[in-house]
This record gives sequence, structure tokens and C-alpha cells, in this order.
Amino acid sequence: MRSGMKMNSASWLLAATIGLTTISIQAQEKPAVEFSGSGFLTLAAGKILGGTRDNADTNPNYLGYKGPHFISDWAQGAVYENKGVQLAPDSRLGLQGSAIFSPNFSLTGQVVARGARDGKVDLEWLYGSYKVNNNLTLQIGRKRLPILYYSESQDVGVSYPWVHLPTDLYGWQVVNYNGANLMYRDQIENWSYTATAFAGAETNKDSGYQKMYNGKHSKTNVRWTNILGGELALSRDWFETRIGYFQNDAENGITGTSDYQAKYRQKIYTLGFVIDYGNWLIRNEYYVGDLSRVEEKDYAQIYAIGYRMGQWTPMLTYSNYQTRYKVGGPIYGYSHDGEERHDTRSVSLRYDLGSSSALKLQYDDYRDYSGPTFHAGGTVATGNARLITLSYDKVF
Amino acid sequence: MKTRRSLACLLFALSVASAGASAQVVVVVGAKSAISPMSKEQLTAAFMGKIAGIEPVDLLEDNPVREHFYAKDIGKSASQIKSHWAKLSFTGKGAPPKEYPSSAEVKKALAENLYAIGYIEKAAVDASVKIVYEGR
Repeated sequence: MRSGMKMNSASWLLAATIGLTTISIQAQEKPAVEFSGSGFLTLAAGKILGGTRDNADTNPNYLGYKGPHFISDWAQGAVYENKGVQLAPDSRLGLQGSAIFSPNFSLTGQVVARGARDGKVDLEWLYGSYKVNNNLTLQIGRKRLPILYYSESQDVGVSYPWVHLPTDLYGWQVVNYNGANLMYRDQIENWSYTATAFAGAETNKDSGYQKMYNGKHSKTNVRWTNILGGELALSRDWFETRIGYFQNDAENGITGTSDYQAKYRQKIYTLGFVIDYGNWLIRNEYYVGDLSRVEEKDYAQIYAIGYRMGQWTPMLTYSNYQTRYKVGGPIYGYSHDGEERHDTRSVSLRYDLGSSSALKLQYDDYRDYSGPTFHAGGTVATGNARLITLSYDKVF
Repeated sequence: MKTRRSLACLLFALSVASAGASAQVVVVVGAKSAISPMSKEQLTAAFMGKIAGIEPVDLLEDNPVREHFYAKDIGKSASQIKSHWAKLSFTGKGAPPKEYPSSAEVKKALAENLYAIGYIEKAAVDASVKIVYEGR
């Protein structure tokens, strides 16, 4: 079943790529293919400064993580544990190569090696891009899901002001998909907009996200099918906003096996505001996840404000996450028992070294308010954690 | 002797650099381009890759005219610009502007691509280009 899925998506990708290449060759005037390469690097070191350890008396290495522990990237299973200075969780190296066949057609691939996955090299992007006209672009292949403002550039530290993105909001089971997207760009008066529609599927074997719930050494598959969504980004001068929606059928694997639990439909709604007014920066995003068939709704948000002073950008960030389950009636009510709820207060400082690299220092204060069932039930409950991280980010 | 020559070279380089930094910069397109004069707001959008059908081109990163243009006319630091293009170029949403070593090369690129827009010192303007924005 699963190998069938893999074959299908791989052969589909290949067929699509050949199809686009044919279109391009027909349209091509100059036979020369132009190649370009670029990359990004993050070297980060972090240390847990304190916190609480869940079930400390009975199980000091809860879920296999030496607590208190701090999750810095759910999707990649990146965790700072309470064991001195660690380099692995946020450090990574990405390389991107493009073959430009004509002004309208290119192929791009991107691989990332990350400490959180013991240096294993993952293919994150591989897509053909065909510019239909100045407004419309069709892309087919493997891409990142455009869930929130920074979702697609999460690996590129230079593109944002923090050492790591606010994890209450940027935490996913699946971050890539194999499929297609159509992107339309235009202007209305002085407003520029980009509307994107995307569709596809992804099977994540050994989900980093699931390790947070099932244990550091556990292995759980996640399969998302019928992914269908869109986003609209609108900007003018110092103001930018985006709204997004997507839905998919999700299946969580049964840990340690190749079987899946019952399929459920999820619907994700997002809204974001990005303001760069003079020296001020505001980042504000909202997320609502509707998993009604498993009687769950998720809410997350981030509020961040920063001020640029030459090469320095200090920033204050607050983010939170809350899951609500249906209790007894048609309305999603509050049931603290089974609730997952946490928030993070962060202070960060970015220092630009020239134009292509930056040093960042960040302090995170993560607080876990999850309900008692959550803690005792052998599922995720990290406890509180305070973390300090220092990073060097570069693009080349 | 050698020291004096190096010093003279350094002084010359500094004077060229400061002349470049203080010279007026203009934003130009090819003489046959359909791109019309624009406001500062449109100019910023164009150089951030936000206007469909307009392709910005750059001078090389260490060129003082480029530094002057982004600092004075766009109002963003080199690292802000780089962060912006990093977000687009590593996510399949756009490629950063092509870079050219001189105003002459920029003018040549504009003549070949009528969707392109670039910036040069005002003194370098000739019949091959038309001005769409008078910079500082």
C-alpha cells in the first residue's frame, strides 16, 4: 500500500517534469541551459537554563527526553534537552540548484542536512516552474506547504528575525507536499497581490512531530492526502497581510507499525499581518485548526514587535497554542483535563553582519498549562522550559 | 615610493567611491519599454519583485551606486533586501535581480529586455534609456 503511494507520486513527478520540459523546449529560442546555485546555513548553540520536568519522580527521562526540554522545530523533531550546550537542534545546511532552460522554464532542487536528523540529507524541494505569462506561474513537484507566513522559509534563518520560529504556531506533522501549485500575481492601484492555489499529498515516514507525543525513539508515519488549499498575500508599502486556507485527509500511523489509525478531515484557517513601518517591525499571525471528526479544535497565535537600530534588531515575541475538545454537547467547550495548552515569551536580538549573514541571540520562556490527563496519560507534556540560543545564519 | 603609490591609489579609490555615493541616481528602463514613470511606492514594490511584468536588475553588491540607491531611494538596508530575496528565492516565489558590473552593462540589459528596470548615475543616461524615477 505504502510503496504503491510512493511509486505513484514519484512517477507522477517524473511525468509532470518531462511534460513541462517538452513545453519549454518547444518554446525555447536559445538552446543554452543556465545553471545557478545558492545555499543557506544556520549554526546554532543552545542550552536549557531551567524549567520543570514532567513526571520527574517516576520517570526522569520522560518520553526519552532529558527534561526540562524545549521543542524548537516540531516537524523536524528538534529538541533541546537538559544536558549542556547542544548544537544539533537548530543547525542545518541547505543547498539549492536551478537549471534555467528558458526565461519561462526552470527546474529547482533543494536539499537540507540538519542536526535534528543526525545530518541526514533530505530532499525538501524539487519542482519545475513554468511561467505561463507575466502574471501566472505553474509549479509542479515537491514543495513546502504554505501554511503560515514563514512556513516555506523556515529553514532559511536569514529570512526572519528569530533563531527559531515561534514553535507554538509553527509546529506541524507535515511540512512538504508532492503536487502542483498555480501562482497569480497582479496589482490593483498601489496594492500588489499574490494568489496561490495548491494541491497534493505527502507521506512522512518517521514524523518528527509524532516523537513529541510518542517518545524520542519512537517511529510513527503520517499520511496527508487530498491536500487542497490557497493563500492570498496582499501588500502595499510597509503593510502586508495574508489569509490562507487548506484542507486534507490526515492519517496518523500506529507507532512502530506500518498501519494507520482512522482517517480524518482537517481544515486549517490562517491570517497574518506583517508590518515594516520605518524602523518598527510587527509580526502577527492567527491559526485555527478544525479537526471536527476527531472532535478537536486548535488555536494558535503570535504577537511580535521589534525595532531596527542600524544593524541591530531587538524583538519581543509572545505565542500560544491551545487545543479544545468537544465535551458533551454540540459546542466546543472547555475541558482542562485533556487540554494541550502552552505559550512562549521570547526576547531576541539580531545583528546583521554585512548583507548576507546575521548573529542572533534568543531567550525563550516556555510554559506548559496542559491538563492533568495530558501529563499523566503518557502523551506530550514537556513541562516548563527556559532556553538560551545563539545562532549564526548565512545565505550564499 | 611603493607606499606613496599605494596611498595615491587608495585616495583615488576613495574619491571615486565618494563621488559615486554622492552622485544623483536615476531609475531607468529601455528607451522602447512600455514601463511608465512611477511613484516612490511603486518603485519600492518594483525592486522588491512585487510588480508582475517588471524585472529589476542590480549593480554588483559592492557598487556605491547600489548602496546609495537602496539606502536613499528604497529606504532599506542591504541586509533587509537580502533577507527579502532569500525568503522568495528559496521558496520558489522569485529570483533576485540579475547583477551587472557597470552602468553600461545595465543599459545594455535594459535595451535587451523591455520588462527590465535598473538604476544608474544620472551622468550615464543616454538615448538608449528613459528615466522613470528621479532618485536622490
